[in-house]
Amino acid sequence: MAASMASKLFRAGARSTIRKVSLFSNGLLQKGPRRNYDRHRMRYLKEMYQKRLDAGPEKPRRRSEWINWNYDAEIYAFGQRLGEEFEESTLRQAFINRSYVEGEKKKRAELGIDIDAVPLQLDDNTEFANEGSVLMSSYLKVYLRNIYPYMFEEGISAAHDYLTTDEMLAHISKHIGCEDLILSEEFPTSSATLSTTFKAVVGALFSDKGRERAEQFVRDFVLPQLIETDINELWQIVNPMGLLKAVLVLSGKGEPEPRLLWKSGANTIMSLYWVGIYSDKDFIAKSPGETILIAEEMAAREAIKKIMKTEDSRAPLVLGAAAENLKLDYERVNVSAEDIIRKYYGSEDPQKNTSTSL
Amino acid sequence: MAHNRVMQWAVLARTWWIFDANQQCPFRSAYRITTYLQGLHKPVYHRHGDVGDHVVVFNTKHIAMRGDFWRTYKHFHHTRYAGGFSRASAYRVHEEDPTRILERACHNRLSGLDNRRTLMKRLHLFPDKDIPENILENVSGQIQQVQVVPKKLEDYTQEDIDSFPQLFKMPEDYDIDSYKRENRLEPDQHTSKAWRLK
Repeated sequence: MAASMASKLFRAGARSTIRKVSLFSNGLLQKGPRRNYDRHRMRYLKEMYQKRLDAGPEKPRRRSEWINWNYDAEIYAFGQRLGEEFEESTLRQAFINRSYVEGEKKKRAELGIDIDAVPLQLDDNTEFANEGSVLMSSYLKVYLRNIYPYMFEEGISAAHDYLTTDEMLAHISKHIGCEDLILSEEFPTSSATLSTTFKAVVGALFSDKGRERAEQFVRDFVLPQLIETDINELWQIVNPMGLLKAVLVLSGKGEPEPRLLWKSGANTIMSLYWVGIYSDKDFIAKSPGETILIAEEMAAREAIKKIMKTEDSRAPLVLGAAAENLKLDYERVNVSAEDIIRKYYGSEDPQKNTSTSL
Repeated sequence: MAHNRVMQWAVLARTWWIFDANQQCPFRSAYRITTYLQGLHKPVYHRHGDVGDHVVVFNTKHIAMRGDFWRTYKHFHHTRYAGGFSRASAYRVHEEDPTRILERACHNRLSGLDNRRTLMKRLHLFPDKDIPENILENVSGQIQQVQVVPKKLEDYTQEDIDSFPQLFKMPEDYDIDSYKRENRLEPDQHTSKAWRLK
């Protein structure tokens, strides 16, 4: 019985082996681990790798060079993405760079087409950019003055300059998807062009939807760049103690008096001093430092921050839905630090001006 | 200059603390001192962070041991050679080096830590009130003592002692001054022979 079972099993095994061998020989079916060593595969891969290195990196191309590009659809999608209803013609114009218009004229001249007979129906974005730039600048200053009413005008200007550099606007422009839509001769697009285009988009919105909508656009896309920056760091104060002295005396208080509050590890490399600033025996601000001089300077900066009400514990910027009902005073101008310093140090006797308040 | 930078400096700078070991239990003192050495008292403490402070301990000569510990508490040592084991009573160790007991107590409390050697380098021990000026200038905080310093008999004036009410009369032959003499009659059973007083 057992012998017959074994012979059956053996025969079944032999049959299956024969079938497998025939399939393997066809190359149709491969089961289990490969039992050969592919000598040519590595050589082939190395060759391909070297060819890629020799060819160099992929040439940067405009997005429009690829086949699946529909400029009309992209222009429409741009407005929809941002939740703004542009008029198509204005938005198209906002993306046309001056160099593109000149390039088109040149091409026509080369083809022998008379420009006067068949005028080129293209306007570049220079005008929009100028309008947008003016609107953006004025709104940024108005907004910052109203949010930080006690900040010196120099600080407001520094924050404004920080937000309106070409690099910053190019960064914003790139990330809202202007880069692919720009019509320009230069490629890759420079930050100046990107920046101009962003201003032109603001200008286009201004001409389409009016001032309020354009300002909202600026608030939504430019001002959030301040969120992670310390606004006090943008304005470099050269002599904080001098400014503090002028401010305090002109507002009728005593001169600032730095006091050493605490020190530790004075003889070590990790020494620490805390210096506090007092005026008329009233505490104003304090700050640490690795030497007394550094601590004193930092304390003076802290005191100025306290006067400007831009301490580290200040409220966050009012943006988004909360900013919709913001009442802004467009005529507002903050106190200028330069005026205070001129008033205090410019006069013969500083004590004369003590009675005038800020 | 950023204010954040100096704030970070203030957080990570090492504070120097001072601790008066006069009449303090070395083991309970070690518990408190090592807290400061490791930086456990700081909100930024983390095991892998190096945020410990320096501790200056003075008057280690005047530490107090409870019970019979001066005699029975022992320090052991083995040279890893055959017969290299030796032991010494706490009072004997204290005679050799008056900072040794507190130093070992702190060292033992930090057992199991990878950075024990580093932490021990931030512990500055002085047997009496004499602390070098350059070290004392660094100090900016005091660690509270672990127990109240008792008033000794020497601290009372003779007048106070005389006016103290006597409830009974001492016998004529009662040896009052015995504590003032050094007891060398009895051999120290708890110390290895090599280390015993000669």
